[in-house]
Amino acid sequence: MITGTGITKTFKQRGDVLGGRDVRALRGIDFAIEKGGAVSFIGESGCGKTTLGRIIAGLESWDSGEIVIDGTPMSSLRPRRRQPYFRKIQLIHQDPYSALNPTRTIYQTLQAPLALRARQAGRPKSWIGERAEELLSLVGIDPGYVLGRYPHQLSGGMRQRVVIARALTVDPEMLVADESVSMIDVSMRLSILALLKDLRERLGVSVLFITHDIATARYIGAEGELYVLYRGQVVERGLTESIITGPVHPYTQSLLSAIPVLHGLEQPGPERVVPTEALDERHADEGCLFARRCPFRTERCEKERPALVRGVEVAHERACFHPQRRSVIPVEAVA
Amino acid sequence: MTVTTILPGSPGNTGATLRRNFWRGVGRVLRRKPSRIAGVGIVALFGAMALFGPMLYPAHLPRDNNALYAAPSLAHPFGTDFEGTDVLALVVTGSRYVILTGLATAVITVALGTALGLLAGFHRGRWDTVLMRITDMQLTIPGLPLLLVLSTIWKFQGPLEMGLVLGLLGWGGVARAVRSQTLSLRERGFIEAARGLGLSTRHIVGRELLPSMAPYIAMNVLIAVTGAIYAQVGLFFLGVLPFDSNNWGVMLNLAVFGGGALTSTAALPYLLAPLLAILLLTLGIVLIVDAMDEIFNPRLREE
Repeated sequence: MITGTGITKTFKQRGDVLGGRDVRALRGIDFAIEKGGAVSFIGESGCGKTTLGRIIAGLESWDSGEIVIDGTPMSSLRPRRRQPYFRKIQLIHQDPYSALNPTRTIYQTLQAPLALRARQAGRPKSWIGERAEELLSLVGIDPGYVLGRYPHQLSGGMRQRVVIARALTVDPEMLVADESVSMIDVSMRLSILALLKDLRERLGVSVLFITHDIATARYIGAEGELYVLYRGQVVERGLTESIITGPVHPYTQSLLSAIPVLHGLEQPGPERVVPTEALDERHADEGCLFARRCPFRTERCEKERPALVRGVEVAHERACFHPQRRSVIPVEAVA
Repeated sequence: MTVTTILPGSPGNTGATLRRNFWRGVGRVLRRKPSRIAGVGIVALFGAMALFGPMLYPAHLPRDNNALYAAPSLAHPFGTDFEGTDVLALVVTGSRYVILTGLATAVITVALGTALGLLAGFHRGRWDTVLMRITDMQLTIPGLPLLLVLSTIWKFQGPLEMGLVLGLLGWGGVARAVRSQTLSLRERGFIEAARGLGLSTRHIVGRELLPSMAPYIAMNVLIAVTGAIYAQVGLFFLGVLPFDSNNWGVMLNLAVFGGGALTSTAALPYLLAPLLAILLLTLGIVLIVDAMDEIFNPRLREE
C-alpha cells in the first residue's frame, strides 16, 4: 500500500542572471494505491504524470508532501534509508531501447540484481541462474534463446519483456509502467499489456499505469482507479469505468473527445468538448487551471480554485465548479 | 550469429564463455581488414623488440673504429654511428626505453583522466566543480616549457619517471571527455534502472558505465602512447634531457648535431633509422585504433 499526500514538485529552470522561470510540475497531489491494485494516471504531455511516476519509483525527489510506503512515512527516513522501500516499486521505462545496457548480455543484466538478492537472502549461487530462467519464462520468452544474447539482437517487444523480468528480480510490490507500450510496435502492444495484467492477477503486483491513451488505461484495469492530471493537479479521480462512461470535468471530456473516430463505423460524440485555446504553461496560476481553455468557464472559475470533491451527479471525485455529464466519446454510427 | 547459448543452470560457466566469445570477436574484428592485421603485426614486432631486443645484444654494444658512419651494408643494414656501432642494434636496444615511457604515460593519463572524469560526471555537484577546475588548471599548464624547467633540476633517471611526468601533464583532455560521456550516459534508462534495483555505485560505474566508454578509453590509451613517444623523443632530440641511456631521441640528436645528418649524407642512415622506427610504430597503432570501436561494441563485433 502506497499513499501520497500533497506531493509538490517545482523544477527550477535556469534562465539568465535575473533568475529563471519555475515550472510547477506537481501542485499538491494525493494518491493511494492498494496492494494488487491497478491505477492509471492519464493526461497530456507536460501534465506531471511522468514526474509523479518517477517520484513514486524513488527516482526523483519531491519538494513537499508525504509518501507512505507500507505504513512507513518516507520523510522520516534519510534518503539513503528510503532505498529499500522504493526498491519495491520498479519503473518500467518508456523506451526499451535505452533501458537495457547494450554492452551486457541479458544474463548479465538479470544476474546483477539477482546476485544482490541471493547475497541478502543467503541463497546459493545456482539459484541465480534458475531464477533468471524462471523470470524469463514468466514474462513469456524462451530463456535458452535470450540469455546469451545482447539487447540489440532482440525485438522491441522482447526487450520490454526483459525489462519487466529485470524489474521482477527484486520481487516488487508495484510496477510503474510509464508509457510502457508507446514505443513498441502496435501489433506487440496488446501482448505486453496482457502480460502486465497477467502479472497483476497472478503475482498480486500492483500496476501504476501512466499513459495518455485512455484505451490502454481501461484495458489494464477496468475495475481500477483512474487519475486525470492537468498541469500538476488531479482534476478527476474515480473508478476507471465511472470516468470513461461519465466524465464530468471539461478537461477529461476534451481528452475523451480527442479519441480518433473510425469513420463510417463511428461518429464523434454529440457533445464533444474542444478547448478554446491551446495549452500554454504561462497561463495564470490563479483560479481553475483549465479556465483559460474551458468553453464553460464563468467568472468564478477565473478567481477560485475548485477542490477535488465527490460529486453528486457521478460516483467519483472531480475538481470543477460546473460539472456536467456530456456525451463525448465516439458513438456507433447509425446506418 | 555465433553467440553461444548458455546452458541452463551453469552460471559459473557464463563468465568464461563470454570472455572466450569476446576474444573470438576481437579476432574476427581484426581479421576484417588487412590494415588491422598489419597494425597488429607492427605493434607486436615492436613489443617483442622492447621485450627481448636488449637481450640479443651485449650490454655494451661493440664499436668498430674502422667503420665510423659506414654506409648501409649486409653487416650493418642501417650503417653505423659515430663510433662504429651498428645502427640497427641501437634502434632495437633503444626501443625499450621509448615504448616503456609511452606505456607508462598512457596508463597514467588514461587511469587518472578516466577516474576523475567518471567521479566528476557521476556525482556532479560539488565534486564536479572542484575536479573540473583542477582539470582546467592542468590544461593551462604549458607542457614543453615546464619540462624544460623541470629538466634543469630533475634528471629523469628511467623511462617510468619520464612517463610519470608526461602522464601528469596529459590527463586533462581525457578527464574532460570522459566526464562529458558520463554525463550523457548517466541519464540513460539502464543506469536509472540499476539505481532503482539498488545496485551499488561500484557496480554501476564499473559494470554499466565503463564498458560503454571502453572504445573511447582504449583509443585514448593508444593515442597517448604515440603522443608520449613524440614528446620524449622530441625532448631528447632538443638535448634538453641528459642522455645516459640509449634511445631513439638520443640517436636523432647525435645524428643531427653530432653527425651533421642534415648537411652531409654520411650520417643520413643514422638519422633515418630511428625516424623510420617512430613512423612505423605510430602507423601500427593508428591502424589498430580503427578497430577499437568494433571490438568493444557488441553490435559491431559480431558478423
